Amino acid sequence: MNASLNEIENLCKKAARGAGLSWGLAEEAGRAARWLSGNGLDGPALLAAQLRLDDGCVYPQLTPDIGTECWERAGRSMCPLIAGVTLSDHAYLLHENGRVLLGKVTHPQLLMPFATASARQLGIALQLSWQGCTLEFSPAGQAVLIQADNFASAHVEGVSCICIKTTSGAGQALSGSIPTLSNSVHDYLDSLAARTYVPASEASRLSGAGAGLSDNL
Amino acid sequence: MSMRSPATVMKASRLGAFHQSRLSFMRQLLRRLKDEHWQFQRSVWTVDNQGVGRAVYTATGPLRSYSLVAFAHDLDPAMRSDRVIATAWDATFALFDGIPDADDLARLEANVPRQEAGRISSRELCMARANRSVRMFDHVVQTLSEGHQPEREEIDEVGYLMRTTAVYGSGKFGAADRESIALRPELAAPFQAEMLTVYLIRAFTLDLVEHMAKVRAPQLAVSLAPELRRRFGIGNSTGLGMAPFLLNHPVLLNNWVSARETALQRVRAVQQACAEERRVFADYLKRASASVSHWHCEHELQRARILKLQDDLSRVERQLDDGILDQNAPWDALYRWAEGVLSLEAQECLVSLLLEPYAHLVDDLGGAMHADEQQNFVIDGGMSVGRLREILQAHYGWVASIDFASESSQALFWYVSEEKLEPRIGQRFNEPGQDLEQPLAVARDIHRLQAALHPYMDEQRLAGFLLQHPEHRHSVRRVQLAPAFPYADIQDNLIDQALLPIDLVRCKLSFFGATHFDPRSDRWVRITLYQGAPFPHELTKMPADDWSCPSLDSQEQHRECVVE
Repeated sequence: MNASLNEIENLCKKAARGAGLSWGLAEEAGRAARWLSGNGLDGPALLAAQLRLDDGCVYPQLTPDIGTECWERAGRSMCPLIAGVTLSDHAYLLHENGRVLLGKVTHPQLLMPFATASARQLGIALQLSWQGCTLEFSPAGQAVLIQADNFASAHVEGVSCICIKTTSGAGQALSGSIPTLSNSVHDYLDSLAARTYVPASEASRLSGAGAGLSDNL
Repeated sequence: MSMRSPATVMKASRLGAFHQSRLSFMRQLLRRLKDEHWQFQRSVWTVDNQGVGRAVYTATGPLRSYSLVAFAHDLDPAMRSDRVIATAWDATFALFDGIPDADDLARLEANVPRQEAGRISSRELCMARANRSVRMFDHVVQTLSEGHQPEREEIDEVGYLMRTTAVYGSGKFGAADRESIALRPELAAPFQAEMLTVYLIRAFTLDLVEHMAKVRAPQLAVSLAPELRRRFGIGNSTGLGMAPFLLNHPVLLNNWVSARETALQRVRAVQQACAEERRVFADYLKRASASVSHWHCEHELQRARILKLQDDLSRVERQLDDGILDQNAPWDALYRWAEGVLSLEAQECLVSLLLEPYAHLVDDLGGAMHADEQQNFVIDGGMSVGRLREILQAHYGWVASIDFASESSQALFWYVSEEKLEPRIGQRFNEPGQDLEQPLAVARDIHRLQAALHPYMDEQRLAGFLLQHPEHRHSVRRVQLAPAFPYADIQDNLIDQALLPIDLVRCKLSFFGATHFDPRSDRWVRITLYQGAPFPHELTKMPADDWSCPSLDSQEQHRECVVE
């Protein structure tokens, strides 16, 4: 079905919360899906694929260990949402060190919204790359696909995020209309979102919305 | 002259006493429609003798056209409900971006009457529905069909023929996203598409009632006299669903309140009020006083407030008579007097009235009431813990006065109901579901954030804290907004047993421009929109912005009637 960016953000936020992320992280997930969809990519499908992996994990399993040169999670791949949020929070490290390296991560496209946010926040150009794929982000947040090999990889061994002086001017700016939201993705995200709802009782039906008076005036 | 502080303004009880003003979104819209000479056309009217069919109203401005597509239905009275859980309505609507062709109308007819169960597209800006005030609608049809006009008092008692029960915009159900239209000058101010939708719905409801009278008695029926016709606004029922909006859109709330407070500050800074400005104020004060006498309400608390308001407005009149304006900075003197002695309801009514003589000082502030919510989302993880503590101290000191150890301070929780997917409030200690609480307990969450920050050193960065404490991420985002947006947060505990959700609802509706707040419980409220406003076809020959209080002539006539 056709979906607006507002709907995509709300659905994805609720789904991420339903999958167990904190409210603040769920807000980031919603925004990330919105950004991807606004740039012609299938944000909800990417998020759904990641939430299938995250569902049932506890937060410490998903976080990167940032104490080393290359951020990693021992024994498994990192969640790109949490790695992306951590990258965005630590954007000052890009200023200080010129780069941040990530180890194994799933669905690296989900890192893009966080790279663009960091570029804007710092007012600098950034390059994000993994296994033959290179993207650049301008200080205004514009994303450009420089090299498209493995762009849609579901899993990569490593990702680098590097400060660059200016964007190269090559490549293709990401753009496009909002992709159609497929029924299966919608239904899955909706089923996660449903975990955040409270079932009605007779009492809540009457008191919850404060109705109960006749409307036929 | 400083602005009123957030600590003064951002209390739920004061926000719940706000009134419409020059900055209200309905008034901004009508001023624009008039200034830019918008043209209006009813291009389709295929409503049958049973009142079933479709209509299209097109508004054309300097750059674009927008069309209200209306579907009138024959609703079984047993199905009529104002609650969001209803599944059928007397009329359903969409605001189309441009002028719809036959295919567009067919697509909309297949979807809009089903409302939430249908889908609209990015060609639509809004979707809405309305129910008749059955008693009023039938009475007006009957009276007009007999060749008579309805009585003014009867009209004023209800104030509308139809109530909207939802007006959806901003990408809901597939509609165009706000950001895709926000750069259009005519839609830049908040809720302009929604306000245009309701304005055209009002025109439709009057056309429909006159159509039904004509059908009933083609020879005898008359149209409504223009002066009586304008006394019909649009009703609206708004419940809890709207309450979390102000919490979920802190930058928007800040920009609304900040515009209003800036306007007040500018007027209070006026050193000398000329005779005309004083006359306009006195005139509006009298009109407001008179209009309060039409403010019907059965809600005990609100009824008491209305009685007190009447009394307080008389006291303001006496202050004018006693010469309070005969000094430098007269409006500041009046406001400071009011702050000391009047009820909140009257103080905030006065704030709105003070803006009336000063279009040239106030109206431009309407341009600052929108918010780009895509900005300001990103957390500054490089900020030090010490800096966050400073912000908390400067902007959230009020949280410390709440005792979260007491049960009543956490009595409520906000949740989304599985049945209708709408925000609800539950009793935390008596109802299941608090583990599914929505993140709307701002004060409590700030309190928890402060406790969690305790072991961290001032010079540590927030990025490290957030990596360890993702549960405080939404609160940190909020706190970081405060220095730039000091009016972003309601400074009250919104999960306290004493919370009145209608305070939040009224605050938002006052910015829309609603009048006659009529709480039907602590959780939902009926209001009137556009009552007294010129209709689209009258805009060229009438003032666009002189209707928010009924004119004095008609009020005085009304008083005479009441006296008799």
